[in-house]
Amino acid sequence: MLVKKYPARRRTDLRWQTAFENSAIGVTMADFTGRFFAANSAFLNILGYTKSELYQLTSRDITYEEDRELNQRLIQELMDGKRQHFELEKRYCRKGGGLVWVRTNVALVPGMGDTASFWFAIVEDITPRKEAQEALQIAQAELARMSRLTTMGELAASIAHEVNQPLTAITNNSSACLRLLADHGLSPDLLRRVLEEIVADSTRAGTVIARIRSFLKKRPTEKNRLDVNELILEVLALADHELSRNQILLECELTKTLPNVLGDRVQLQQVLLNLIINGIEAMTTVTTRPRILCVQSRINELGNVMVAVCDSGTGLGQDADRMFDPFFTTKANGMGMGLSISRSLIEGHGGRLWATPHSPHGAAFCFTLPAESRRGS
Amino acid sequence: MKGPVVFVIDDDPSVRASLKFLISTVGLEVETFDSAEDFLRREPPETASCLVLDIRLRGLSGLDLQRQLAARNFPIPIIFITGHGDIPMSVHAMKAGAVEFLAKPFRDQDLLDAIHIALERDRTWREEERMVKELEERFQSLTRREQEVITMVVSGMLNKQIAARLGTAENTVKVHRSRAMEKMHAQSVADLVRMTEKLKARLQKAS
Repeated sequence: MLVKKYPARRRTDLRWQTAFENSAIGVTMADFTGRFFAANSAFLNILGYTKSELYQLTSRDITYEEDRELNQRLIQELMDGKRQHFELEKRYCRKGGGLVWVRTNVALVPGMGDTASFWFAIVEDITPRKEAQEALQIAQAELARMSRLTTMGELAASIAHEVNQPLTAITNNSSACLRLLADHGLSPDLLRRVLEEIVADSTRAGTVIARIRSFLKKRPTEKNRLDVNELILEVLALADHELSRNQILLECELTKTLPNVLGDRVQLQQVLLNLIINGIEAMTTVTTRPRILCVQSRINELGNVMVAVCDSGTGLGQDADRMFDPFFTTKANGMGMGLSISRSLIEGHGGRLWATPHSPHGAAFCFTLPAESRRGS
Repeated sequence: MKGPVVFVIDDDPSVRASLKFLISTVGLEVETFDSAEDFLRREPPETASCLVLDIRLRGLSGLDLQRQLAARNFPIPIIFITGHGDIPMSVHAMKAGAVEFLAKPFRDQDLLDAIHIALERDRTWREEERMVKELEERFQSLTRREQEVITMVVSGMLNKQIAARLGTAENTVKVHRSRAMEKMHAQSVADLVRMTEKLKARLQKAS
């Protein structure tokens, strides 16, 4: 019907009409109240409406509630002549529910002769891209959470607090009983009641420990086929900020033809991140030589994957033997669990984790992971 | 007069109950609260009391409560208990007048000693407060002329000088003076000086 209003040059109109209909991108027009009066099939596909259904609706009707205000403001700016067109990423409500992310490009086509001015919009479905973005954000949040746990600070605080509370109650209750016993003022009934509370608090403390233990180790290890190089690159991306903040030069020597390993992605990321952060921290006091963190992957003599994280830091010193012990730390705010946990995680994967001096300065932390046994080899 | 009360604020029910039990073994009355807000809703106590306060609470923290109580001119002695041996926090709390800062779990004797000290401190404060109040009442019961006279006596003026200043006879001053001394329950001029010092300190604090 719009076409009919433009009388001249029917053949050109027809060509345009065909281009309009067959465009892979949604194209639509609406009058100044926002009511649709033209739409191609790509646009209808995005929304799931038929043409006649769509023509009952306005742009406002199909725009998701949270995006309406911004959309409306931009349209107002068009009407006021403040802008010629606008581009907006927003959500549409599909017919029968569900949202779809679109990028809209809206222009005002001024009226001509007996034709009123109208909106012309090009609409592209960007839902897959948005979903990928969201997945990326979730993955980043997950990694951030993980890195906090790797530094163990938060976990340490929460263990201390959660175990401390029942311990305090147990200590108080027991001390009170001892006091009453000394005064011969402890009736069996009272004693029974207090002992029950002591048992309950001990159980509570035990539950905290059990929960942490299961979190750290006993969690059923997911065995997935992993590319260790990919894993290294993911963790380096995560540590990127720390590396640049501490002015550390990164050297990456990855062997391309590495066999896959079977393992738990998150656990192995934790180990790597922990070793990298240790390396970074070992170099914070280094000022007279370059701070270099070198991450290598290679195949060892047994055909297994070996990863080394080397730094040019202060080296292992005299504590080399003890550093894998739980609660051994040289850091002011460390808990001394990082290497101990890392080693148990690697051993849980059938590998080994050890430290050697790195020449000419610093330390190298290496671990191995068994190569996935390939059928027939 | 009722016995002293120990208030316990901790958001952990087991810790709260165990503290109540432990403190009650030495014959003290204990009231427990699970939040600072809950404690603030209670009327200020009439008897000697102290507060056993967890630093970390849901809502208002222990340190927040300490600040609020100070702002409300409610100087109840506080013993902080904490699950985190947090040194900067403890320094802060002690500087703001806390009696003790104990890391959980603590020795029962350490807590009970601290409570003993705290209650003693509160008793002294209440006694002082009561005395000052009584002095104030006595001072208020003097006539204006008597107040004038003893103010001059305290500042070291002789009866003769006071009489000259007020334009009355020395004997009249003597009568005012002895009546005022009697009303203030002062045995000597030195006594009277001590009393007015206390009143002045109070007035300065109030202003």
